[in-house]
Amino acid sequence: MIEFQNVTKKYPNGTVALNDVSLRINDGEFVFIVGSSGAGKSTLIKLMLREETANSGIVKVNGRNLGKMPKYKIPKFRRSIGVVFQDFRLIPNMSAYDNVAFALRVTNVSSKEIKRKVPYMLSLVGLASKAKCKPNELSGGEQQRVALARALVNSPSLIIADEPTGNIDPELSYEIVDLLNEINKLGVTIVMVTHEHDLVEQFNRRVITIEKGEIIKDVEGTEATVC
Amino acid sequence: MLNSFFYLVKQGFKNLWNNRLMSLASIGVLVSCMLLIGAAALLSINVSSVVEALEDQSEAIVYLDDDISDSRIDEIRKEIINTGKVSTVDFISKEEALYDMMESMGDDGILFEAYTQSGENNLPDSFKVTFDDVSDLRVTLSRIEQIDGVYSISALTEVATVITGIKRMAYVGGIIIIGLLIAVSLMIIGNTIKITVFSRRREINIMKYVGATNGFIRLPFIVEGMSLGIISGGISYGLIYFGYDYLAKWVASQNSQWFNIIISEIVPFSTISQELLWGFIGGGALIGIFGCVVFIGKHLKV
Repeated sequence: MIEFQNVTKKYPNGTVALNDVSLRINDGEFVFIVGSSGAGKSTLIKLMLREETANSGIVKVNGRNLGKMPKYKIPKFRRSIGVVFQDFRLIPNMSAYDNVAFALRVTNVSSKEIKRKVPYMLSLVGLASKAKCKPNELSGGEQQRVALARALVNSPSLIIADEPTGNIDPELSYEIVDLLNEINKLGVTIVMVTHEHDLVEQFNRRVITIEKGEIIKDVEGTEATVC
Repeated sequence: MLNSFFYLVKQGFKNLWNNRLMSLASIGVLVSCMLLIGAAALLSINVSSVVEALEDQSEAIVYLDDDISDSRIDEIRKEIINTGKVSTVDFISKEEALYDMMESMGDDGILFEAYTQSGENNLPDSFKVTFDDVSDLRVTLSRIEQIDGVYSISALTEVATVITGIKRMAYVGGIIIIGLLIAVSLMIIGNTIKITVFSRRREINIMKYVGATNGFIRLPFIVEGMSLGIISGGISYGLIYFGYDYLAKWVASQNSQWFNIIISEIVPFSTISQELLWGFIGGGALIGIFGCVVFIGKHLKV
């Protein structure tokens, strides 16, 4: 569960990115966060990942109060979340296999377990045959699927996707969101930031709209949420 | 845990190859800096060695009063030794002095042969004194001059002053130049590592997002930095070895009297090779590790 209680985030240059924001995302939900550029979407994600801390208010993710979390606990916390970015953020000199395996290696998983889990994850996203390819040998959609496999490999209870379809073709965008939809059906909470309204409408899920650092709309989707 | 450790060490070596262009640039900078420092250190060591040889050759002749007893001569010898900075004290009797003079005059020495036969030798007994350290030669000589039974002293104090000056300059100058070179090298190396780390900040950033600890991110960089330092140290050592050998041979081939003093006093590479090798490799490894740890820190705050 994600909970924001009266959260305000002001950057040192004076920009108020979020102003007294309160929201609650329950376990197993699929939520789209939409808004124009500079609305505060990225700050919301940064607060969820503990990349930034709020100036006031409480941010809780999976029961942890991130404002009070000591720095040394951040890596372990992040391992419980899968993150997908618009620019994929794959390590360029590692193969697709190694990029996915890296997320397991940081948690000190045994080689045997890595050899079992990584091929499974790559086949889940339809990239079993491209395991040895480097990111620059893959298309945008394929790179995003590798990123998704990496986000999933530690079996997170929450996936945060920051404009995951921003750098790929529209027809592939649907595939990626559909994949996230399937993952959500397994009980994983999905928070997806996007500004592609067509995509949001197609999936008919809860939509939170942010403008100028405030939530101006929070509409429940008609499609049922698991759990 | 051990599993991760070996993976990270392997990753460090892999990165060395994957980022070979930056690795080459870093090695180039490190080798250049080490060569400059090594050359300055060797120059300073050799100048000191030559100056010390000149110092060993500086001597004073201490002339004694006439008709001095043998027991008093022994006492004077002990008193000269007790002045402190004396290396050797050799007694030269008036007969030996006359013989030496005749020999130094070559064929004309025969003119003095009558003195050897008549026993009318007016030359004084003396001591030939050499010194450990000529830096306070004037003080040492004035102490010797005050010894009862010493008539006069003949010594090239001006030469000693020049030698002392050169020695001090070689020592202080060496430290300053090496110090400056180390400081400049650290700045250049620091910047090179900074650029290397900066070019891979994205990689570091990704690692942070998937939950890697700072130690997990740093270890491959440390292995990489350490390896670059060791490789650079080895290359620098090799280049210095061949360069020094070539230079020593060139100096030896010069048919000049001035070079003769230098040739005999050039410090053999074998006497300093160990220090140089460990200095280069250890220093290179330390700089590599230190640079990586410091400059990665900035990019870990995600």
